[in-house]
Amino acid sequence: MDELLNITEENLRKILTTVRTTGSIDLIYYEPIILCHRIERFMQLNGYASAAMLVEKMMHDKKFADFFLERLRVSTTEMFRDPQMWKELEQNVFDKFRSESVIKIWVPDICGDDELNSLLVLLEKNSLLKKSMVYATCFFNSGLQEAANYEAESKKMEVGIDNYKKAFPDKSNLEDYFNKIDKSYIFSKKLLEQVIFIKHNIFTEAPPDMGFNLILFRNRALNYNLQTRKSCFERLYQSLLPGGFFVIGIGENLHGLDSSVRFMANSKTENIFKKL
Amino acid sequence: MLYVVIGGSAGSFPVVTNILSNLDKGFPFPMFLCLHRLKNVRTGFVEALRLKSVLPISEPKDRETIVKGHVYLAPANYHMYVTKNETVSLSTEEVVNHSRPSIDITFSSAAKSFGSKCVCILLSGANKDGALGMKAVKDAGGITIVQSPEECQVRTMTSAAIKATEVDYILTGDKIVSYLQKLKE
Repeated sequence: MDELLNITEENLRKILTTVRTTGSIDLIYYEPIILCHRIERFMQLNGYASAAMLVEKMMHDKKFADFFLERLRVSTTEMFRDPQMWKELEQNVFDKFRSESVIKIWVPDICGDDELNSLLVLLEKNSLLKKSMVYATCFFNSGLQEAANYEAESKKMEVGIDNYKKAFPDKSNLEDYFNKIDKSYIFSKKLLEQVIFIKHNIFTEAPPDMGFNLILFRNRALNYNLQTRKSCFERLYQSLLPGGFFVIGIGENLHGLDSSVRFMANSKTENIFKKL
Repeated sequence: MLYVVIGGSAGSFPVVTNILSNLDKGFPFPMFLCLHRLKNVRTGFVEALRLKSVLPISEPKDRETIVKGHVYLAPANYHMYVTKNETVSLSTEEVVNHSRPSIDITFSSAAKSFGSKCVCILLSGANKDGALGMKAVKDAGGITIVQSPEECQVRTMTSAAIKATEVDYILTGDKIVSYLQKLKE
């Protein structure tokens, strides 16, 4: 990258308008400054020198508009990101699930999806997976397929293993949940059997179910604009059971939500909250 | 109103503490620090800077409102944007220049949000992060300052910025402090 592109506000408006008519999802829900950077990055990687070229391509190629939208999404970065959070989830939350006959969990707006796989590993490690119903939702079919056929290359796996060992320095090993084929690590299909993959628009649709024991929603709302973040958090809150747990990213907070949304911090540092 | 944005990596810590310990308590502008750091070490860094700083300093949460005279340190493993709404936005996007937080991202968001009101300072470091962001600030009419490469513990970062942009000032760490002290005048 030798030059930073600079999408102006006017160009951003044109792109938003075009996407609204040609794409499958509206970009109006996203945080403008991050969205601008995502678009600039897409243009650099795909050789679009101007916003006009991008708009022109989208106008004449519906498939391209969705390809563009998929590429704007932000992945969850790495397995067992923030090792301490996973440790506390195991110690403080999973322990309370042991007496439940069914554990309903929702991982909304998946992208990648390292969060989903980390969760499945932790459930299996604690012998809780078999009684879990894990909903993984995403607007894009490709996102669902990617998660259902998750594989990590060696470098990504190394990061996951390192995080996992920081969280659980016992005898268990993250590699036990993968099949190694050449240089790739294929995530265990057995663990994925407990997952219900659903195409779902988090911005406009009702939750895929209600009465969740846990919603894992770390760092997804960073990409949404303030109003969308608020409405998503409030909708997710409604779908939780009383006493259910809500997990957001370390860098996030629950400020600005409606007064009817009442959480108690289960872990202040790791942003694990319990619905009152 | 001005917005002071500082980026640094290897060798920048003593310069940053020099700046933070020598500003007036009434420094009237917000300051943003994007310093390369270990992703899984979440505690210790801001506390170490706080010991030296005369100004309040914290790692912002997402959408935190920007306050004058406050120092914001980009949290580990997050990119830090500054927005026109006078808030800080965090992101888990891909690493840029092998870095998250990336200086290019913080600098270019400052250029986009605050344009000519930015004072952008790049310190010692071992990769090219910050060079393009500094160019964005310069193109937007902001002030660009680079620590003198001769003084840097590692000069790769400042040399890359000087190559990418005709920066306004090349200053030693002490001169950067003096510049900031006079800024409110």
